[in-house]
Amino acid sequence: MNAETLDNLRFELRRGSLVLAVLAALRSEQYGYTLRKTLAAHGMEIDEGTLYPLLRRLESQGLLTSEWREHEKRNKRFYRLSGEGGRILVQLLVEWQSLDNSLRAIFREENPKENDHGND
Amino acid sequence: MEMIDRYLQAVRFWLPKKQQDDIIAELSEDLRAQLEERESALGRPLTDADVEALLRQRGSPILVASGYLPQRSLIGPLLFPLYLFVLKIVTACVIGAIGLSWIVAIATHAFSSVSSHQHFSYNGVSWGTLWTAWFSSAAMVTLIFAILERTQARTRILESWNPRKLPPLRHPHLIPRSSSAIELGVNLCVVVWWGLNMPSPLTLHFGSLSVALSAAWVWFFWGILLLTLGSAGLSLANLLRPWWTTARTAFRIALDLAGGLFFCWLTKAHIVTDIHWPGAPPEHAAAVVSGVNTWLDRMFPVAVAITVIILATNIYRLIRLRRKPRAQPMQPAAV
Repeated sequence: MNAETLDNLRFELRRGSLVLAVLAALRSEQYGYTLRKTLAAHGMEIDEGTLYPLLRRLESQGLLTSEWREHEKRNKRFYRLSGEGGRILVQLLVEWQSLDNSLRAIFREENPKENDHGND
Repeated sequence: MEMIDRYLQAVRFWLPKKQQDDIIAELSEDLRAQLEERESALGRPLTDADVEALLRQRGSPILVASGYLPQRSLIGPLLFPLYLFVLKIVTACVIGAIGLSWIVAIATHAFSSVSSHQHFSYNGVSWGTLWTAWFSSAAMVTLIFAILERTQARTRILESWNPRKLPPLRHPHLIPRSSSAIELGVNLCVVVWWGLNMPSPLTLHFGSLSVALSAAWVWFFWGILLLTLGSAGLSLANLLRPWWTTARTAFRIALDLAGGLFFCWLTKAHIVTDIHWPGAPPEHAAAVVSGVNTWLDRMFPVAVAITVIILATNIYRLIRLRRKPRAQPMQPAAV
């Protein structure tokens, strides 16, 4: 498998998780730049070209609210999770947990020995 | 920071008008925050090269703007396979129609140059015609599919299907019994008709017009008779055991090769010896005989081309036969 294929697969794998990460990070209010820094600090690097359109999409879906406000003498757009976004986040976390459990179960079935070694 | 402003202006150009100010204000704020952080990390003001590197990292203005635009495609991924399939059929039809035009044009040219020495023009069937015909057909197909995509008709097209109406399983080696039966019937009719009406020496009558063929016709008569009998035998075998085998395909190739050679030879054989109609002056009749034979002679490349196409088709079938067989169709599980 070449590096490009691996990159594409990693991108696809992370794409769904990004929405979850953004929603979770915006339980506390943040503006775009600090949100990006927060995500990067937790190992979820995201470029601006992906983040800002995603924020707009989530806002248009009613999952986020935003407002322009002056902060440190500059106008910044602050985002936070909406009530509807909070409910969706809970459901998505349940879904995520279910997926995680399923994948772990599949890995255990496929590689029982490796799993045993891993537990040792 | 003129470079930053120019960059933002370029991004703005591609954005939807209603959102331009909002998006650019946010992008501008993000860029400035990044620049400040970079400056404090380096402990100096950024140079043009630093700013350039930062902008390059962000991507081209159109790429950045595209993230804010809705997904757009002329023909979406759902309809695309169907579009490609129709385009292939249209391409085959255009090539077939133009090919037929060429054959007719060559034949007409051969005949007209014999009878009236008119100058033949290929203008009607040139490469330009082929290109124009294909291009306009492809454009029309693309337009229709783009309209289907826009009008959401694709959902109705793709959802109105019935598993029971799917085409039956196809096996590349299977010969439909219906086609073998038709082929056998046609071959037997030809054998009877040919044997009763075309034996040598032969004079054909078309009303008051009579055409006498040369003694060489005897070879053609027997050749075609034997080939048609062979073809009937093959059809019978295909009817009883309806799949292609290497031996049968090879026999089909031999029959087609022999038939092609006979027809190619016929075009060169000066087969017409006399044409007669009431009141025909002898010199006029002789000119027509010469004209018909010359026309046949000029049809030789067409006969060769048709033979090659038929042989290529059968050779392709033989090659497919010798490849590994496909996976077997799914069978119901044993209970």
